[in-house]
Amino acid sequence: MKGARGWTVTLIVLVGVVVLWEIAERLVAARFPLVPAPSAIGGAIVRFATPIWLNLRLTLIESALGLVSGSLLGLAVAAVFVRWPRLERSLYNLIVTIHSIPLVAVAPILLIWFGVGITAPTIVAGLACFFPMAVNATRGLRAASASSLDLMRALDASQIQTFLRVRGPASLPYVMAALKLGAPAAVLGATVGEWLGTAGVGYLLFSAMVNFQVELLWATMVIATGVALAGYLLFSVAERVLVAWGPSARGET
Amino acid sequence: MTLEVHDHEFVALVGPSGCGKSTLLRLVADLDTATTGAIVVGGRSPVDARHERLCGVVFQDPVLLPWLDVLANVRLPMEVAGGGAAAPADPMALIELVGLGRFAHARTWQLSGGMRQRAAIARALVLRPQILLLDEPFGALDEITRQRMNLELLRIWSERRTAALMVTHSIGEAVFLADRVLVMSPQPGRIVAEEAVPLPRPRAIETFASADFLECVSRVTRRLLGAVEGTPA
Amino acid sequence: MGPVREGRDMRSLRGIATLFRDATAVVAFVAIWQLVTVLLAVPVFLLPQPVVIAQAFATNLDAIGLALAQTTAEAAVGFVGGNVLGLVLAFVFVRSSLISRAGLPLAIGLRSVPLIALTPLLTILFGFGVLTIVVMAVLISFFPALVAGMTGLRAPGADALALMRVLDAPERVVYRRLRIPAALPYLFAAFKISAPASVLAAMVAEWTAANSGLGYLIIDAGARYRFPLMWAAIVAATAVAVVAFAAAAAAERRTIHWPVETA
Repeated sequence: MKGARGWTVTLIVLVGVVVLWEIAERLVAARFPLVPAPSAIGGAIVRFATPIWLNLRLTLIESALGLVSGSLLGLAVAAVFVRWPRLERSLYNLIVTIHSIPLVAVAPILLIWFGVGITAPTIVAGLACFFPMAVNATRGLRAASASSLDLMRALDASQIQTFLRVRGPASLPYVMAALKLGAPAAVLGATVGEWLGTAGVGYLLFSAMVNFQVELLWATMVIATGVALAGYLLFSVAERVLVAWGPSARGET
Repeated sequence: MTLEVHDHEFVALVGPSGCGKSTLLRLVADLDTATTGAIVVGGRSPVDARHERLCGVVFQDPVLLPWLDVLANVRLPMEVAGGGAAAPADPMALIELVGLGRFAHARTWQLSGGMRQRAAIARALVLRPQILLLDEPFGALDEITRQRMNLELLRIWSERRTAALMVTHSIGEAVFLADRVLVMSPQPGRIVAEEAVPLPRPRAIETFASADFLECVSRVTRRLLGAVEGTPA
Repeated sequence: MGPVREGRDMRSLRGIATLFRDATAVVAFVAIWQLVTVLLAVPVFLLPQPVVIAQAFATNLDAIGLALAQTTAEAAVGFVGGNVLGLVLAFVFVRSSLISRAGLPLAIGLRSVPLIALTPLLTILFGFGVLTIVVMAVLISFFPALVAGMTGLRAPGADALALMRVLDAPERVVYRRLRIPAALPYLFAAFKISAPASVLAAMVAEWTAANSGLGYLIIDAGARYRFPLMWAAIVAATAVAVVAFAAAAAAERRTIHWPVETA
């Protein structure tokens, strides 16, 4: 497990950075009020636990809904592309263009369309994970080797059997790679979608900035980052469990 | 174990997978370091020999750099050596020699497997090495291409007159090419037999049909089977 | 040399065909949009007609142009800065195997930090103004460059490295002839992500840290109910992002003239 050792070293480095940060803060004794000590941020997380949790819950719901809907849509588009390759050739550039529309530009439009609520952030979250899934799943559904498909033909397997036994498993590494990218992207999308709203982690970040609540801002940011990383790790672990037969596919980042 | 390769001699090393024949080659090329024993290349240690570029190496994978054309790949050793190379060969003449004259400016990935290996041989020869080290150079090629490449290799080698040490698991290939065939045994890897090849040179396609060839192949085969006796295939 | 030139002609012909098809798709898309908005009498705050957006674009050409120039400049500075920083660090990391073992998972982890969501924090840290915007664009380009640099410089296989050792190549040559060319495909893949992303990052930062630029223009126009202007700015922003991506992709096609097996 070379990766495990890498992560151990990473963890040690992270802990080291936090400890050094704390020591530095103690030495300069609050000369930089904009960068609180880790202990102060930790204290703020405890102090603001209730508002952070209430807003985080909303963001989590939006992210999860966005991840599921965006990924399902991406899978559907991939399935259509694989079934009708001509469509892919005509529509691929359109999809890339849609992907290039900055999320920030989409958020205000969605707010106008759907008003304040969970719809707009959910859609932004969904858009953020749609593209990686569409691209990766298209590649994944084509990843089955010609010989394994020939084998299924020789066994006179049905389309569904072929999918369950060959195409599906072959695409799994790609789908998992897309989910690994999509989970943090969904959190990010939901957060950005909430900026102009009235609730959620994004709103909390924005209002903390406007009201100059530095410790609350750091505390919320640490939590948001933690949640995004947890999403990434969750799917990394799921990938390792589900895709036991080979190295993880390199995802379209 | 002891192994000696004389000037202008072609020695082939055969043995089952995992007997360490590639390791032996890598030790000579100073890609690995031996814990015991002594290796002398052209009167020098492998490290010094590498610094003086006395060895040309051909791997099973031709490792041509895809961002360079054929000529630039063949010139690469000269470029790396800078002014340090003593009288390098004319790379263009070498490319002609290996039969790639028309493809000097072709992209390497457009070449067939055999053509890539030709380019790799030209690259190995460009600094006029004293010995050519070949590690299963045609192992990835199909049988027909492999046969043709063996004939080509003999032609190139007889023209350049370097020593050659080749690792292969094809007995026929070893007998056809070499002056001496060394048989290695697995675990512990050691040379258990040496067969001189009494075939006259130049050898050609007819050599395969000669009684001497078949006789020699069967002798080496018997030695090899004796070497692996007791270990499951 | 005949076949090669023929291939190039074929490719440019296919490029023109693709361009034509894309142009047709865009025209059709805009035409349907126009038709639907007129036929269904869609209110302007929901979705303005393309014609109205075009008018808003024409009447506000100066404002949009200025905002566009500002955002593009900020994004470009950030893109260059982030890439230089990321690549230099990648180089340092790769040369030290210990740092690289700890550094790569860290860099990959940090890459999934929702950087854009951190904009409010950066605004507090770096103040209201260009600095925050550029820092944001730097950060967004930095991590892809770092990861691509580290992965790419370590991409050459054992055989290629053995060849360099047989040739007794000094480190400098190994980098120039082997590691750096091998890293290029990874770099361009990163550029294709970070070039549009740096535009996006600059625009997000303009929400919180500026009262100019395309990002600000979109929010401001929306807040003033000037929806056609908002849409015109959104179209401009999308165009910049698409051009940034296309430029990176074109540079990739010009540079990488060999087939690449990586993602």
